[in-house]
Amino acid sequence: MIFGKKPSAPDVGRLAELHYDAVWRFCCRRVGEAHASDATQDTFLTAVRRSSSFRGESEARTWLFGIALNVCRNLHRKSGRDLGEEWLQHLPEPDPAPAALERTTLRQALLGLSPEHREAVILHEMEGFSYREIGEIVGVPEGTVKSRLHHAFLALRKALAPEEIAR
Amino acid sequence: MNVLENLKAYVDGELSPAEKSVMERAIEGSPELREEVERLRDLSTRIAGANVTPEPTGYEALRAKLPTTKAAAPRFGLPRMLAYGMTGVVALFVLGTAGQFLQNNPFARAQQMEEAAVAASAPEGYVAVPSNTDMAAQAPITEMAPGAVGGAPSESTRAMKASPERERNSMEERTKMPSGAGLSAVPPPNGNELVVPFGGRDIIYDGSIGVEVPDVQKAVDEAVDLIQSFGGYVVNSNTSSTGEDQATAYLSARVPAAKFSAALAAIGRYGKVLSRNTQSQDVTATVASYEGRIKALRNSEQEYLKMLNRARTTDERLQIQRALNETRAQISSLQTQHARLKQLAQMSNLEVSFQQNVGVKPNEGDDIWWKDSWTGAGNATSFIWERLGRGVIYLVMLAPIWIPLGLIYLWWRRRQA
Repeated sequence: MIFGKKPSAPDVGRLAELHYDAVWRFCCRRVGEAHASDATQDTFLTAVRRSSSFRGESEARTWLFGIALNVCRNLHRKSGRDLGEEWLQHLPEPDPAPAALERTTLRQALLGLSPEHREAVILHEMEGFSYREIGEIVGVPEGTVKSRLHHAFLALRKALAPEEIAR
Repeated sequence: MNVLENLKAYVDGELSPAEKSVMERAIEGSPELREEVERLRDLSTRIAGANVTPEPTGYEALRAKLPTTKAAAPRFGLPRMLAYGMTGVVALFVLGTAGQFLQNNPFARAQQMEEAAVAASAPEGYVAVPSNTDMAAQAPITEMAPGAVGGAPSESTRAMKASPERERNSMEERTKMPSGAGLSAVPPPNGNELVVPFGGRDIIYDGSIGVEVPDVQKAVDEAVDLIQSFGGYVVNSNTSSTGEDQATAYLSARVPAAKFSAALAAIGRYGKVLSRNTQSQDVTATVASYEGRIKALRNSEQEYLKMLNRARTTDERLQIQRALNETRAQISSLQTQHARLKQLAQMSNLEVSFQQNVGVKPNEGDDIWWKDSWTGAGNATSFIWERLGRGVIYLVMLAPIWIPLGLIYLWWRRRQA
């Protein structure tokens, strides 16, 4: 890369315009609403500091979510607990009538997942990242992402089994 | 292919075309798999449906904190690359210089002396006298052959004294120096110019120069002034004249080693250089060897003194006294040689002869400045390359230390980010 084409450093201001909401929502899911703004700010400020190290091997959005994930992990580490549970415990009801049971069971099922499996589920099912992009964000091979999602879904289906039978 | 593990990837459209076709065939023939696919899709839909978060806040606060300028320069922009390169070169230079310093520091020199002392304490035909051993308790004096006690000369030692060459070779072997490292001549870099080395080495420089000058007496006066201004002195001076144009002069002088090259060059500018010879001898190992041997003999002397105090009979006392006297004589001799070598290394010997020729002009401005500059630049360049080379070697040798530290630092940076 030294003598190759230079990757253009991302304009973090522009990235903030485009991705602030998505990053904020992701942080909200990972560390709860109370810490989401701080985590998002940290993410973009870190991106400013590290913009020169952006190698252009991934999309800027993927790079940004990788930073956000590390910021959230650091917050977990500092607080000593899984801050993401806050969001899961306050999951709003999209549809009042049949969704009450749905919300409770989904919350319980997601809470039962390991942090790695929950990260994979959130990034894929809620953020829409591909397996390859999740691998870049989390820093694991694509096959590991596939395996994590497979096992996460097995665990979710196991947790949701009684409810599925009732449906 | 693990069908069940790939089923989720199939639902997500993440399989390769080949895997996808295999999966499709498997699903076609299996109602259970079709049902499983439907369940996975249903669960994905339910999770996506539950993806509700509050409205994001704090964007304005972030905008206020973000710099208004564009992003930082790319990692390997030209200025940054140059800065990294220069830093690397400087770091290598510092590393090489530090390594050179450590090689010549007093500790290393002391170790070299210790090695020489150990080697010198038990040469051929000698009985080693450990400094902390009670000789009297180990071996009765009456059983010792005269001259066979530590430090006393044996036949082989006497033979060595008779043959300086053999002594030198033996000394080099004892100090485990590579052949030629003791008193070998160091050839000047370009035949005439000597480079005074950096570091704490003992090098003896010898040089002679013959110059044809228009006025011999004036040249002699200037040379004497020059030598004195350099901190040297004239040992011997002789002027003779056989006719009006046939005057000659000879000067023998000592100049500080650091000024030797400059003195030689300056005298060469008085006229036309007829001859110039320079020679150097690296005597660092020899000096260290002398120091080691003196230390060993001092230890022997102390042992003899202890033994002398314990001696009971007159015969014993006489025998020990004899050995003691011989040891002291050796110490004195070695100290003289050591002092002479050190003196020779500090003050170089310079012999100058002037010959009159009224037609010759002083060497003013003739290839002086550029030749000096050329030589100086060459010396400086070789010095820098030497330090950089040393730096590379130290970098490679110290790799087991700095590579793990660097990896730990990178891991820590990544974790912080």
